Amino acid sequence: MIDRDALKTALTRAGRGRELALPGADAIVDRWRAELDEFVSYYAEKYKETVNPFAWWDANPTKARAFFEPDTLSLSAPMKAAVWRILLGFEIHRVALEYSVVSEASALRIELKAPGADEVEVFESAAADDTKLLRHLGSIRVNGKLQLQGYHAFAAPAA
Amino acid sequence: MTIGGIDNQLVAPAGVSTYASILAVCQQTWPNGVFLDADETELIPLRSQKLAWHSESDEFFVYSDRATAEAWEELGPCPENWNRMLHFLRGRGGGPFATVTVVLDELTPDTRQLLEDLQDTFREAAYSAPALTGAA
Repeated sequence: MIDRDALKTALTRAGRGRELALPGADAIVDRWRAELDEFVSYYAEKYKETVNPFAWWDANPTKARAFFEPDTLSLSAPMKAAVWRILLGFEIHRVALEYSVVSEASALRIELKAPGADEVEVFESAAADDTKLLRHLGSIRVNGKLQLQGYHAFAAPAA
Repeated sequence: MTIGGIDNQLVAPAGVSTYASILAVCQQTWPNGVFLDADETELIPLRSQKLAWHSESDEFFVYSDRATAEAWEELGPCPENWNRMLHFLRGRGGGPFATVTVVLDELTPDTRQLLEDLQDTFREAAYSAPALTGAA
């Protein structure tokens, strides 16, 4: 199980320490711990690789802040895996979203490709919360054309 | 390392991570490009996952491909590698803007487009609301 204090420290470093004082925060942190465990297991099963989200802090704090965004921590395991792959440099090949406030249904499909590779990795979800992933996608310009690229943290709220 | 060429200064709003954007744009421009931190000697392919785990450098070089990078080490600038290397220096001046200096051999339609793409990428990153920080 992901350590509670370690996760709280990561959230604080990500600029989300203030929210930890809100009512109910401990329950949310515990839910995120369990879901991070799910993600690590999911990733290990799918890619035969054990990942350590906390390792981003040493390597690249910018990416760490993005991964420890509350939006990211609330994603399903497959969508966390998609975020992880984007942080590794995978290219966003295709995004499809179907959403309806009336039916409360959603369908999110993200296709990623490793740079230079032909193989497409597909990530799908019907969880409405997973649509929040889209709020964090970045973009670049290449020959004047827009490309979705990268996954970002929101600016931390002022202390 | 011989450093020369034309300096081109780009401007990014403070808080926008220029590092990942630069590498992403360069990777699309030069799919076989390689990265070299100014304080290191290891050439890392732009497409490598290893680069994702590299700390954000304030000074680095991007070459169009490994052969060009190796030729640069041996020969320095020469006709064969003309405009095939970009030297980036990221300023941390504080205040509302940060600077990115891009050193290249010559302004051509291709290099002008690259500079324009980078500047547009920096500017558009700042349009995001709420502001986005950092980049993958």
